[in-house]
Amino acid sequence: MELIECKDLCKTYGTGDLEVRALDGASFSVEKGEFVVILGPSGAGKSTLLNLLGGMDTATSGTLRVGEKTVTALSEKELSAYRRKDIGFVFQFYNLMANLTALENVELAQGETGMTAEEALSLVGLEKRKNNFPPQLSGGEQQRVAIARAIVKNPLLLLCDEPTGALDSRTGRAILGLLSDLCRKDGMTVIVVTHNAELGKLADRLIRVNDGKIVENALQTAASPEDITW
Amino acid sequence: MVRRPNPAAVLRRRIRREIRDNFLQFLAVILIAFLAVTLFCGLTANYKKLERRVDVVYREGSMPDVFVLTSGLEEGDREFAAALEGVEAAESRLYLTAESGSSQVVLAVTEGTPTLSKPITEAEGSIFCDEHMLFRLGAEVGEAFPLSLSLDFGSLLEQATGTPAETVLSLLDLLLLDGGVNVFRQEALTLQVRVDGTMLHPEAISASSTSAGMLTMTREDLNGLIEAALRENFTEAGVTAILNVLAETDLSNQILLQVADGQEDAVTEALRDWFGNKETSNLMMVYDRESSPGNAVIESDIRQAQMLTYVFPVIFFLVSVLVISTTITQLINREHTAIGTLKGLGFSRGAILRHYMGYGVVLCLLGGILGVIVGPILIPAVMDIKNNLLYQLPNLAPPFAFWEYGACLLLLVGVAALVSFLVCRREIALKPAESMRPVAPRTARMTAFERSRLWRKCPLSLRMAWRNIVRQKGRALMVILGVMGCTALLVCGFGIDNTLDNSVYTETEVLFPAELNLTLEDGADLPSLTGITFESYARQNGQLQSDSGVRDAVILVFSADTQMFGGGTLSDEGGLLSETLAQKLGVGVGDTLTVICEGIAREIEVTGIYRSGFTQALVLTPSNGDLFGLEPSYAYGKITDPSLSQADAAALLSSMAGVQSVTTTEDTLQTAEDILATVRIITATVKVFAVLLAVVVLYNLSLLNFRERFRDIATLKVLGIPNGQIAASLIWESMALTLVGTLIGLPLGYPVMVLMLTINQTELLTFLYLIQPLSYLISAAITLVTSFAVNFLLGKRVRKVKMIESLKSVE
Repeated sequence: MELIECKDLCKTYGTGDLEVRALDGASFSVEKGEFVVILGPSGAGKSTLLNLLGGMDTATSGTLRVGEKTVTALSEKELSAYRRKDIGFVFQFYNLMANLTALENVELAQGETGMTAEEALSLVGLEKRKNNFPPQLSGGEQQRVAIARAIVKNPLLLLCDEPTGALDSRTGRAILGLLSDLCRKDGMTVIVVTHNAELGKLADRLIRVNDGKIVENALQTAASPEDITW
Repeated sequence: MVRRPNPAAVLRRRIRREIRDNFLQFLAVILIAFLAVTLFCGLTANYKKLERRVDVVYREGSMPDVFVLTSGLEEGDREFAAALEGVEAAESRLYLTAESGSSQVVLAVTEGTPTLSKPITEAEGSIFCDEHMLFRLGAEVGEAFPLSLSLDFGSLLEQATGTPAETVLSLLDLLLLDGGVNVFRQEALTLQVRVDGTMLHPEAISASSTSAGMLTMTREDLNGLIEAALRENFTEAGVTAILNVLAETDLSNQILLQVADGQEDAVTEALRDWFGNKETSNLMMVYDRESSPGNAVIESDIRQAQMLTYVFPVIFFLVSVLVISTTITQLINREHTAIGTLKGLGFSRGAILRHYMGYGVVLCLLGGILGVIVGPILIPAVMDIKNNLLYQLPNLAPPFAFWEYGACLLLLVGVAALVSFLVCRREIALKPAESMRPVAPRTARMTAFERSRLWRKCPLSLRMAWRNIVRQKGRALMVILGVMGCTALLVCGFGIDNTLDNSVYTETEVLFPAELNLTLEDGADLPSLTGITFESYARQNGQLQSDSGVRDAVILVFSADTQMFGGGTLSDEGGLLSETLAQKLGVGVGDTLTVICEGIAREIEVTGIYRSGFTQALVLTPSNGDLFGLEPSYAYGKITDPSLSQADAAALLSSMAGVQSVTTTEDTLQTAEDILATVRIITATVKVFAVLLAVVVLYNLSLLNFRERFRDIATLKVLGIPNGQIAASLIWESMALTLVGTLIGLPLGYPVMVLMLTINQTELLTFLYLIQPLSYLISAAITLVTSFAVNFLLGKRVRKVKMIESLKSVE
């Protein structure tokens, strides 16, 4: 069975003449353990798709199923639990709490099951810096902490919003390597949302979005992070 | 020609729009500035006006510089005083206490029209009294009222004729008309006085119940009044004979001196020596204008009013600094990117700094100018309700204290500009690019607590709260100060209520526990009524003198085993003095006072001190009271029959023979409540103000905190952390600071209360300070609840934060 099944997903903002169809009947599915890249220029609807996948927004119509849950049917409270248990989120600007240490930032997302915060940090190679505050870390290190925070709860899905957007290419490649490893070695389903076509080469499944519609949904052979440049 | 707008003008327009659009948020600053300036300018106008009113009375009434009180002037006294170096004018007069009904009247009789200490009046004639006295007597100008003079005519006649008093009196008995009475054998001579008009008088400034009324006339008037009294009783021959004797008698007992500036002490010293070198001194007291009883009272009131001008607004100034700084900090924080943009557009740092300082300055000016207008109109008018009850002074417009008002406005605006400057300084110093970038979060070393084992056990929300506090010490301090102010003001507000209740309770339940207070007619016996026990006492106004000054006081005489006075054990050795008088006179138990009452001066030892808010008296037993010839003419009645109400008892007693008037404790309580009404209004204002302060400071700072952590909150929501938990971490922080502020504020309530009450403290009213434990509890509870409510409402905003915000770049 597919991990994600998305059918005729629509999202409109505003009403009447001002109505904007940000997402216009998107349908696709994702298998468990796939490395998915959602690609599109800005304004294409990829952020809307990400918001819906992450349970941060509700769809206007259509259905979205992630694992056992029909996300489009969840209440506000259930969505909150869905984000807490099932989704790991990696932001473009890391979004770490500046006044919590690296370890504490990870603890913030730690659930009753899954690994410990320390294990998650060592998985991203930052066990030695666990007591540092985010401003004391480099951008790449901060993003690693963010990834540790996302995976500590063993989520069904790791959602990454432009994870390398704020990083230089060398650091960016390292982060992509880490995400790729999480997918290949640990069987984590990873979805990366980006406008950077180069990142598309990393995907097992490449989904192109334009004008709120899915224009391409293809399986491909993933390239290694070392092979890409931007 | 194309009109080119000046960029600075555009910025000014921006301030105007910002203030208009966020008026509510800026209202607090305007309000606080308004309050501070209103109070300062109003209180300044009040004391300046009072001072000017006194100056006018002293100047127009030629208030003497030195007063010499004797038991009767002797040969050479006057000449000696007049010839002293520095003495510019001297005048002698007869000064004695008389009675009209149960009211006391001071009679000042001069040889001709007085040149010193003279009445200020528009009326024609030479017999004047102060308005308050006329009111108390229930008399009118031109209407006769009785005045009992207790002059010892026997010895006067003896002196004048050189014949023993009894012989003269027997001779006079022979000159009586049919049915006439030899009035000189009576204790007092009653005259029928008609006043020509009311006056203001430099020695009759006080209009309190402890001060006697003042009546002035010339010797000729007095002789005329005596003649009229004699004509009813003596034959023509008798009247002529007596008047001849009187005409040759010098009745004067006081010398008033006008002395060159700075010579007062030398003159006083010389006079003391002169009288001290006599075989038996006829001197009772010498004092200068400063320490004359009336002056001492009003001077201390003026000084107090002046002190309050500075003390009171200081509290408001501190509060305004707090409110301005929190508001501006909040504003600057919100404008972070706008500041960067302005810099990018090429505005100079100075221009941007001026722009943001402009907010504080404009807001404070708005409130301040309003305050300068309202304060001097409103506050003196309100304070005059009290002043006019206590003093008889000419009515004047409050002076416009240009320098003080200017300085106050300037100071406030300066403070606003400075606070804004300090807040903006760092922000402005950044390079444009830095300004447009997000604020780099601050890092800090771990505190010892953060390394402890306990730390690991704390929930994350608590840890975030702790770090926020430690890393934002300035803001934490502002919250603590604001909350501290709120609690202190609340304690003060409730404390004032407690103090008033305590003062009234002490007076009506402890000191004078009897429910009924009776004024008896002359020589009447105690009434008897089943269900009430009576005890008579004497009461007379007098003056007390110690090394540090002279004060008007009430002399009370109770029997040694009295049940009607609860201020301590009375002793035949001396008297009990009120704590207030003891402080003012600088005496304690064991010290001796000179007591002047009924024209007699005696030394009396202070054997004890009692506390009272209202009755500033020296309480004696008859063994000392008899020294002044005080006869009990009042009585207290305790109701022993519980079915008898105070009102019924009073009604019964008023209709009985020998009872002139009755007042009940209930009446007294009602009067007290009326007098204290203005103070109660102040306490209500203080309480509202306190809560307002807490709301403004907490709201501003919590909002600031909330804005700064907007992204964090959005991120936490994305991470699936429930809204309640996110709000909790914000509330933790605020509540912890609130708790600290409250704990510091509680003990500060007492001194603030004492400061605030001084505004209403007068010579007549002393407050028995008391704050009940319950007041502390309520104050703390209100502060905590207010803080919680403000934070709870802000916590609700967490729900409204859109998670998508977390995806945006910072700012």
